[in-house]
Amino acid sequence: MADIEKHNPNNSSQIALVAEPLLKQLRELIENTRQRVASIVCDETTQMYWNVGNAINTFVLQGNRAEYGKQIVATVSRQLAEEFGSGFEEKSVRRMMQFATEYQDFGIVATLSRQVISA
Amino acid sequence: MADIKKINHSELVSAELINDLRRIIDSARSHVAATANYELTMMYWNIGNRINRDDLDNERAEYGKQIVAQVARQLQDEYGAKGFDEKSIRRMMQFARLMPDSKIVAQLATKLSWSHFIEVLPLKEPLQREFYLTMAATERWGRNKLREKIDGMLYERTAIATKPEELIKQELSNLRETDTMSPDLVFKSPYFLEFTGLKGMYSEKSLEDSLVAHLEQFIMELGNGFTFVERQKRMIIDGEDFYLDLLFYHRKLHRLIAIDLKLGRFKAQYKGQMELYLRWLEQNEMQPGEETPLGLLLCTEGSDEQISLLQLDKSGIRVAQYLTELPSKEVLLRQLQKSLEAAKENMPTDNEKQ
Repeated sequence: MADIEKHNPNNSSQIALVAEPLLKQLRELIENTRQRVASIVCDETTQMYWNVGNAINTFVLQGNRAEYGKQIVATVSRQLAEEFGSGFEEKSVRRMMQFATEYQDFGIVATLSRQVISA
Repeated sequence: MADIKKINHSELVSAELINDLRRIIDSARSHVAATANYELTMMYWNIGNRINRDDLDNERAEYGKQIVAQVARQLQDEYGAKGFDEKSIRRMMQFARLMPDSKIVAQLATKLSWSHFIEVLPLKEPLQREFYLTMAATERWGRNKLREKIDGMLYERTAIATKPEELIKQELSNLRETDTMSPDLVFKSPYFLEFTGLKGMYSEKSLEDSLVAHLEQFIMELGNGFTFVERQKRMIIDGEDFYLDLLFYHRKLHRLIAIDLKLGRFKAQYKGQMELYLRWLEQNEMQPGEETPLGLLLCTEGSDEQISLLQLDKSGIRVAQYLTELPSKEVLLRQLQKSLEAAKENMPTDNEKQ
């Protein structure tokens, strides 16, 4: 039986046929995992951006620092970029602050981001 | 405008703000990493499990091999060469076969990476694998530390290895689910104290000095939860001075651990001395909320019959061997396996208990 299988010219297509239903299920497994990971990463990142923006906003508003807002953002971005690399330049940090201001009720953001991913 | 220019900008931003931001970012990143690790490991398990269900390793070996090769080829085509080559696919199948309980895998996968799981696959015993993975998850070992612990035959040396299988499974499960550690998982024998550099003849004092001088390594060998309290702890009982060599506290067991160093074999009279220390500590040092203190007698050699006759475990005392010079790994392994077998033979059967 094994010899016939080895020398049969149609063997590879037979193998491919038999393997296909198995492959279909494995593909599904992999795709589901990828989607789940992407969704969670997105949620975590969004939440992190909001938390960072919110922390800076709160800091600036406290203790009459509003005038120095620009310098604060510049200094913070420099330190964060140094420690955590790209993604924390001034422009991005400003956007995080704006994000936290515009979506005061974070509950809205959390549900929204989940809806966007599954769309 | 001039006022603003004078101010040192870095003073505007307090260290507190930066620390808060650091915490936010680190936390998010570790959540992401943990999630990615978990999902990847579970995906590998599910892939391996699904392929195993088709039973391709069985009778028609050549046929099955070709199917696996085809699957690997396709997945590599669609998802990239990394991680889906034939060797990796076979490893996923081995993984699912060797660790069939997906619930346990899921508990471990939240704290470990795929490289941890790969590390234990070559081990022979299922409980051995489960032990190393559970300890790695609980004590947060990196892959390299895990490898060191396996090389150092940690499982064979740990007290739990002498216990019945069901008990081992139970203890490990408790540790994973409720983070409670049992003394059987903490204590071991022999302890490797080769870092002391002591050879040939040496005094108890030299041993103690050396252990304290190499405290970090001593604690690494004792185990994660140990914290050093005091050396030569003085206890005055009936106007007499007694000195305990080393006093530690174990954070997970929540109890004081009294360690006494002895040169040579265990002697029956050590029991009375240690009991005295433990009762004194219980009365004078133990804090509310703590469990009763435990004792560890480190000797160069045990005396198994005396030890079992004295029923030391009832007094919360353990005897362990220590080695300042390690024989070859093969010799060690043989010795360990011999004493493991002996310990299991001496275990009371259900009829003998009570």
